[in-house]
Amino acid sequence: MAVAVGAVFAVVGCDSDAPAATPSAPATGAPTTPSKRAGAETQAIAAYDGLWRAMAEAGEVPDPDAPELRRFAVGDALARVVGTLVFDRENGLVTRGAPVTAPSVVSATPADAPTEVNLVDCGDSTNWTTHKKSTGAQVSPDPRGRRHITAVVTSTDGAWKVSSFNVGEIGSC
Amino acid sequence: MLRLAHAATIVAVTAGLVAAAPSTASADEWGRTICPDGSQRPGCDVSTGTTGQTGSSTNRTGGRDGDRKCRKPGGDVIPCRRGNAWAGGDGCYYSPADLSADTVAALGGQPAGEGGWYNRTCYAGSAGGELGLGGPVWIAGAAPVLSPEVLARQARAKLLLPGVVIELSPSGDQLVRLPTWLSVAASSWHERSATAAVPGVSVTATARPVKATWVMGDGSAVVCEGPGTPWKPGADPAAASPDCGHRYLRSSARAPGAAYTVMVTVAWEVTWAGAGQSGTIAGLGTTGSVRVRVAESQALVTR
Repeated sequence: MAVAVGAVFAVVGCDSDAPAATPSAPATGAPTTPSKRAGAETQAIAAYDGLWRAMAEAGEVPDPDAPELRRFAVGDALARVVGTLVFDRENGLVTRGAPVTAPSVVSATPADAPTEVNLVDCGDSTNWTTHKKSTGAQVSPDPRGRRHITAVVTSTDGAWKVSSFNVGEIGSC
Repeated sequence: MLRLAHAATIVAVTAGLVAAAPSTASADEWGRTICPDGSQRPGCDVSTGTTGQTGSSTNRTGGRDGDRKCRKPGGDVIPCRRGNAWAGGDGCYYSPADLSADTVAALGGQPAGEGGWYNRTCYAGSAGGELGLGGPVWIAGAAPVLSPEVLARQARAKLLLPGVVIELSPSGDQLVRLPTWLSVAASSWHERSATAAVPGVSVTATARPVKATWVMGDGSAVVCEGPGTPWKPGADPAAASPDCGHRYLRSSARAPGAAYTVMVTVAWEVTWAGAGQSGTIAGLGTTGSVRVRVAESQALVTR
């Protein structure tokens, strides 16, 4: 947040004709930079949330080739998610439910028109269970809980996708 | 000598990885995105997964040793097979992966050069029922994990054998003392083949019917080396089958349902060939059955 405020001041400072602007209203009549940044952050968060939602949906099949995964992930992130779903498939597993995510922005670069946004989250897998596909029975043990997650979301040609992520142990946040 | 040194190096690396691994008895879906060694790289690190065949007699710390036992890098004996997967030198299990083009693209694309995709699963403990961790991995080189024998077993599993269609002569009810000709339909008795392949190695398993064991229902059994000969109209009804027949001596009147259950089991010999080698593996069997009534000939006359 401090970074965002600083950016607004910098822009205002360059415009000598502008009246004193309040940092709390950067979108009103402001130059495009703050809204670009806000838009980038919004889209990055949407991609992050969308990836885990798509993984949960694909996990019910499980379908490593679900198009939604490709919509929200690329590169290492996509490879790991797809690989996990292949593992589930080969081991006769499905998932049910979905994780709860609520990421926040750590950084966005470059500041004036971000193409990379770093997110941090405390994801909760409590309602994301694992089952035997053949019987539907929940596996035992089926440990779940909160994990500290960091993710890098990048924009290529205007499309925001998670390009890498790192998940901590259960109970790490 | 070089080879041994190489094997030892791999084992050392493997041991290091395992020591660093967290306890991964099971995990949620997020946890399954983590590599068995605790790292978080796509494809993980499988440079140690190719030692399944290093089994030199001096290597007793991982993979398959001279006693044909499989071991974890730490030395614990583990099953060499889990389902259709085989233990690699890193103590993880590998089976050939059948991945779609979309999946391969998502995994970073098909690497150049020889190699194959494998499903890798690593277990923290040795208890059954544990889920383990893993995923699809690319292993460069010519079928590093799978021997032709393993592929042969996979090809064997793909064999589709025909059902057994029983042909008795006379058809329908049999008569006491009149020869019964036993045969199975030609469709039940011919060679079948199936192939299993990984890059660089292809093995074909062939199943060949070799023996038919007939259990006649009256307490007797007949073993025939062939499918038997169908009785042809015009042949002498009193003649016995030249190669596979039976003569009922008692009517089935007192059998359950007043009929005998005739069951035939066809034994298939399974051979395999590929990668310049060949061999025989455990055979297969197919069975069929039919209910027959056996009447006293006198009773038939009076009917």
